[in-house]
Amino acid sequence: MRHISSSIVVRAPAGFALSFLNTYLHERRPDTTTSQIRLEVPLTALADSFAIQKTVDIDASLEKSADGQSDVLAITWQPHGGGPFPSFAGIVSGAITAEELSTLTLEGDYIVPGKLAGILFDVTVGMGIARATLQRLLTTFRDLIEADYRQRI
Amino acid sequence: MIALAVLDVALRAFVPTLAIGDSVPPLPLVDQDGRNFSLADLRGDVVVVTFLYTSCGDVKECPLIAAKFGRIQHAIGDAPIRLVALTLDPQHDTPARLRAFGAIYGADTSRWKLATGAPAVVEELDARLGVTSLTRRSTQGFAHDDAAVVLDRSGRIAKIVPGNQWTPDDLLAVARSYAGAPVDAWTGLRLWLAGAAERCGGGGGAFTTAGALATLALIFGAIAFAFSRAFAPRGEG
Repeated sequence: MRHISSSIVVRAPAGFALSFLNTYLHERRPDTTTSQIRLEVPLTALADSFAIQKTVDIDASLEKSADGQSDVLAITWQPHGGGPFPSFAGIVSGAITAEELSTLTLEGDYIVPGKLAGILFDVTVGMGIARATLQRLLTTFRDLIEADYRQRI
Repeated sequence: MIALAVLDVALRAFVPTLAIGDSVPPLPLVDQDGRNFSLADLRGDVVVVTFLYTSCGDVKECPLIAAKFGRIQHAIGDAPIRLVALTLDPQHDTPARLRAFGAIYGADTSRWKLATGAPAVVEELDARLGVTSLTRRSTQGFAHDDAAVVLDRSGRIAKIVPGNQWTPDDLLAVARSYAGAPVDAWTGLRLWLAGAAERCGGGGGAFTTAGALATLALIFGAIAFAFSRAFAPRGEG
């Protein structure tokens, strides 16, 4: 299990951003259990601008932070249909940094598939790929949040 | 759902809803910092009251209201206007939770109070201001009414804007008009038209640009028609 985190600045209040993600991920549920999203996995270690798409089953819910006061979005995903792809469990938290400007942080632990070979892959290139994947996901989230915020407010 | 609606009507019968011109009773509330206050203490300022609860996770509901309040507070300027977000969930929304909630919306608590209090008191005030929560659903929170209530500087209800589709600019313009602060001409015209529509029995809650344009077109069309009739050449008789 490896810990990882990534942050991004969003032009919207943090509370709005977290609620948007909560609503967005719930409304994408094809049934009553989990949503599916496509993660873009940059494989720049293999070739510049080379990426693959991987569908994951994602579950998200607003929960209280460790101090029991503020909201965080608990988020987990597993590869849809299985396969050699990391699963992830973590949170998205947010903080206002300026007027209508927030920082969202996605952090958590991912589990590398495939025993020793998986661990070797992870320490060589996997960790970098995981970071880049998280950053791309946050970028997608940011674009969705900002578009919704502009439309609603 | 029908049973809930019946229950809602029955409960409302016991709590008289306030109307335009009524004073808001000085019921004791607690703000996000644990300080006691009542809406009556804010007399002297125009007060905009809205309703939410902190565990609401639907971006189309309470988070949207909070985000709009956040936008309004930055545009108030020097106008004597205060914002109050009154909880619909006094059982769980403690001052600390309200403070944390306000923080992630950038609430400037010198302008924007988040209020809770004894559950019976808060529920009574919510109901008197025309907003009740129908039930606590297991996963999706409360079903509740939405409204923004504008109190004038003497603490009387000046305007009730139903729903949560109001824009920050328009709600602020309403508040500014009661605060004696200038309102830009176009917004003023739209609000006047919305008020006129409301007085004529139409819905005036959503001050849409399209609605204002349609109303203007109707007025100018009627005037043009009247002129054309008045000055049309008459047949010789």
